[in-house]
Amino acid sequence: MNMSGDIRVKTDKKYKGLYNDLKNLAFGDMHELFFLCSCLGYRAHKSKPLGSNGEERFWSRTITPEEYACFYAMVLEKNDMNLSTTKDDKSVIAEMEKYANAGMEILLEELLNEYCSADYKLDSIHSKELPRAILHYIYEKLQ
Amino acid sequence: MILTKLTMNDFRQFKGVQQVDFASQMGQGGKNVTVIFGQNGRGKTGLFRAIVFALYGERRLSQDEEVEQQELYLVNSGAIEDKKKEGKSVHAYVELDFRHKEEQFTIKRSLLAISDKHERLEQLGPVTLSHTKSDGNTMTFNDPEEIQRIVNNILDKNVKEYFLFDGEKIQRLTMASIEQRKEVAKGIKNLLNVDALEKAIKALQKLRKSLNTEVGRRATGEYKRVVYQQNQLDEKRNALKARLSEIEEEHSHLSVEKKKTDKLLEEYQDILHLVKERNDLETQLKLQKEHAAHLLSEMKARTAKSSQLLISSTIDYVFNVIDQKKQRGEIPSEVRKDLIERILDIDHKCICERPVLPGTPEQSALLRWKNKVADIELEDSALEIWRSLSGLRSSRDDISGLVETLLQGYAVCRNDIEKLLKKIEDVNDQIGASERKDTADLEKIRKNIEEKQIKIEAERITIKKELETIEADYASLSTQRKNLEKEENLKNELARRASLAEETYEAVEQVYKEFTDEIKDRIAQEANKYFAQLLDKEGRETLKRILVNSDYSLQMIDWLGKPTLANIGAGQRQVMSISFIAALAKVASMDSILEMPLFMDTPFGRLSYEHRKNLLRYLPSYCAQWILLATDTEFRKQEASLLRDGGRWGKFYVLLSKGPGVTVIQERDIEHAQAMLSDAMEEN
Amino acid sequence: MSDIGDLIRQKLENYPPDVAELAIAAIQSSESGMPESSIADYLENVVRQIVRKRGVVDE
Repeated sequence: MNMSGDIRVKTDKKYKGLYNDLKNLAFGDMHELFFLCSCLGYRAHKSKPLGSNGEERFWSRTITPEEYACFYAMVLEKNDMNLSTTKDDKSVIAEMEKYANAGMEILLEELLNEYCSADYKLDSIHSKELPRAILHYIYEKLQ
Repeated sequence: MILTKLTMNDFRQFKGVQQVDFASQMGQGGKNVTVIFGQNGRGKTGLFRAIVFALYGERRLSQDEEVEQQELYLVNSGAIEDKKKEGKSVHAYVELDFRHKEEQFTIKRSLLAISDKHERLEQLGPVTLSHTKSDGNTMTFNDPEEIQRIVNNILDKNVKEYFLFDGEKIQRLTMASIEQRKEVAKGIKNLLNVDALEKAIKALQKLRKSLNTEVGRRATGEYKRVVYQQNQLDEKRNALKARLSEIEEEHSHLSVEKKKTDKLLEEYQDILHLVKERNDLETQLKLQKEHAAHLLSEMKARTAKSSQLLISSTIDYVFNVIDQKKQRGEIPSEVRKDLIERILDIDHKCICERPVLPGTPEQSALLRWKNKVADIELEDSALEIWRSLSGLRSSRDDISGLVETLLQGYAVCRNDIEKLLKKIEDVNDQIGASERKDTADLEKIRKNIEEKQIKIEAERITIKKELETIEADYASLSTQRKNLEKEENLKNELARRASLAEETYEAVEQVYKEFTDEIKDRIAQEANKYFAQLLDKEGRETLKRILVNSDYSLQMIDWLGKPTLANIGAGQRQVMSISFIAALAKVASMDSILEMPLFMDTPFGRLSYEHRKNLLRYLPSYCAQWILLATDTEFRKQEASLLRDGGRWGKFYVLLSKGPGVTVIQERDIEHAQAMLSDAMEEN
Repeated sequence: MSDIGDLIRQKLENYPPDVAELAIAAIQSSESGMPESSIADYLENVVRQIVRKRGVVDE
């Protein structure tokens, strides 16, 4: 568990535009969206390998210590608290990429599809209140 | 002009040939009232149109202002459709027989109409006028311009509105714009022959000028100088009079503009508090929007921290496991692993010297410890994770609370924004859609107008003074000229002619001034007599007299002596107009009855029962001929009874519908008219 | 002349006869609908006739 900063975090290439648009509109940076998607995927017990669709999206150095801590927690819980599973950040990130991939599908289905077209282009004109929509979405999930 | 017969063929709703004979007995007790009765849409206005079309070739009435030219058809649609099947066109016409000063006239105007699938075409056809004089000789005219001249001489088209009118629009005559009033004044002057006087004055002026110029050219010495000076003064006088006329117009226009501005200012005062309210609301809205934007920004910043709430259970679980390990001493391990390995594998004894041999309980216990202890690196990681998760856990409530606060706050803010938007919309509706200027702008405009008015008023006074001086100088020069003529025994014809023209011009001008003043006074006098007869009791208490302005427009003076035309009701306005027209007719005919029909299309709509009663009682004696078009709600048993009792009712026609767009005119016996009319509740 | 014209004629009786004559000629020609320019020419003739009737020596 080094909280490595030199890993290139991947997402599905089809979400490239979405990551870019949402980064400006509703999130501070891409890692925040990635983090949300990971949590969504993990919570729903869904993970989806990127396969050949994976594309580098951002540097792991942007991931905060709190987010990393959460990644480790998810990996530990999944692996019966085997601490050695947190040793290799690359494999931790790789796990999170799968959860994030599934989580993005959940996010699209449950929220974002309203705000973007079929090819994942965000309608910026009608997305001015996305920060509120996302926060509300999270809040509703907790109830 | 007294109308005797109207014949129409395929005109408007009147399919085929249809005819109305008008009651046209003049003189005391003669039957001069024709009533044409029909419900709305049956064609009463069509009859009016027919007369206006026949006399003036006009397709449009004043009520057609908003109707597109191509939508205004005069030829009966049914007739066109019938002829369309045969592939033919329709020859429609209107023929009007009338009498004027015991001579007979018939004017016939035609229309050609044809229709195909795509459009309908109407074209004006020829017009003829036949004039049978008192000696029995008949002349026929085919030139449209000449025909128009003849008709205008009998009833000028600008005056026709006063005698042929739609009762709904009669009040417009008292609300006419400056341009309309000018046109009407022109027509009235024609009726009263004032028009002829003005023309005569202009002609004499021209004559005078021409003769004076000639005299000036031929005269010598002192006489020449005097004539020359007179001519100069004359030119200057004409120029000043023209400028005076312009000033009068400008003054009228400025007054109108000032009134408009004052009205706007008044309205603006009323809405000033609304404008302030709106400004306040807009400020509040701006603040709320800024607040909403700020909240969105806060929410954006909190999304990542909020996301971890989704895996709270995972965080808690992992934290608790590590925490338990900590509490058990497993993390960090109380004993170092390498020490345990040394005891087990090398020393075979504990630090207290107790032997640790294979198979013994001591060895088993130590082996168990060894297994539990992870390596240092991982321990450090676990502790790190524990610390991070501890931080997350402790801030969880804060984050949760903050998210809730932000969401609620945003909801309230949006709600407030919606409310403010609605309030602003309501206030805007109250303020109205009209273009508003700031009060300051309006005040500025008003001030400019006032300054202009002062300026032109000053100019007017100067011009008047100058004109007085010129008149005086001119008169003095005229005297000098006469004396010179006497002294030098200037009896040459040219000088005498010039002198005569001069004197005649001045005489006619003076007569004109006296005449028009007298006429206006007489019209006002007569109008007030009729008005007093026609007005109801309440009206008589508040409205004192009608004033006739120099342009023959009207003003109403109230019991306080103030102008009140703008405040009187539509019915009273109508009665006022009728009184004026009756007075005009009386004065124009020099106290006898003017030979002019009063053609009224549904005049009773705005009149109270008392007004109607008075009108029915008195109007037949005011005018030579009264043609009344009325609906079933206006002309009931009561009205018929009143009219019949007057003894002047000569003809009764009913307009009946015989299908879509088709009306027939049927004459009915007056004695039996009441049977078909409706009753009404007794009105106060 | 029209009825209104009679009123004017009455007023003109207060003026010298040749003035009244010329004035009436002017008014009547105006009533007839003659164009203005024609009236002026017509009145020149009327003036000439009136003056000649008075027996003025020719130029």
